[in-house]
Amino acid sequence: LRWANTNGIILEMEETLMPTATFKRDAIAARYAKRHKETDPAIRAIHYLPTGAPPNEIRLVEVNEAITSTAGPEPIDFGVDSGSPNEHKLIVFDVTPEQWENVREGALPLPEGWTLEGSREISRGHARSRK
Amino acid sequence: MNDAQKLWWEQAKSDHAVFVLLRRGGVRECHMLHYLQMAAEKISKAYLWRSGAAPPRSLVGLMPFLQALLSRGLGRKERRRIAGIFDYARPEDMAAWVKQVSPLAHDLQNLTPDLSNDGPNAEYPWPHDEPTHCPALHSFALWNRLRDSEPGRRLVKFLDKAIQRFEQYA
Repeated sequence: LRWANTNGIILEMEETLMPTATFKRDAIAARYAKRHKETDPAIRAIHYLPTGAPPNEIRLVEVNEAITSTAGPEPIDFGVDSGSPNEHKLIVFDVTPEQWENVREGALPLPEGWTLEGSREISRGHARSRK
Repeated sequence: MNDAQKLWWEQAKSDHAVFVLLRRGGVRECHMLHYLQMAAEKISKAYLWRSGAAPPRSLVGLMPFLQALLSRGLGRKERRRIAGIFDYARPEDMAAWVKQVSPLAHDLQNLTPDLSNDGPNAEYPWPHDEPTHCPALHSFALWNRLRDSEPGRRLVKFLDKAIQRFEQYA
């Protein structure tokens, strides 16, 4: 790089390429799914919903047969790794198998801004796109 | 709700609001756990002050709070009402959940330096005499269980409800 400073003196600097960190959202989502499945045997399926999410936001719907509460499902969000290249938000929407069926049929709404379009089931070791 | 309960409830609400900010901000785990533990302790004390006298120290904490909510001394009707406030159809369903979540609640309750047996806690380096670890650099298994399991997330949500709906069961 060459440019002149305020005194007109030509300065030269070697161009350096700063490493650009890339947040690997799909890979990190798969890692969460693996960990959650290992931690909680009551999980039937984990669906990853990237469509429409901000780049550093991971949206998971976890279908869990051990939920006994009568409350409607509510998402819960966690900030993770603040200040690092991997900084992201994890949002988990826990539902019963019956609630998941209602979500699929459109009878139970997802959190605002979420969509099943382009969602993938990632609880079986590999991603399976929703038809 | 008596005056002492109101004061403990106000402090619980404030601690919990900070916890939510920290949880969303993704700060070090120790800080999130510290505020969650404090909010849990204070809403527990708010409830246990319902007799109008300071509860015995041995009967204060998240576990005694959960047990008190399900106490048979309350009567079936009241226990059913309380279960409903926490979105359970029957007291038995809430009791089953409390049993399931007890290890997490116990670990959260014991996260203070004086109850941590000179081990991991959310505030001070440990061991006390020859510190080798500090909370800010420690990865807490408890936090992973709260974030990465449904029972853990439900405990976090339960504490939110316990604080937001306190007037209904105080």
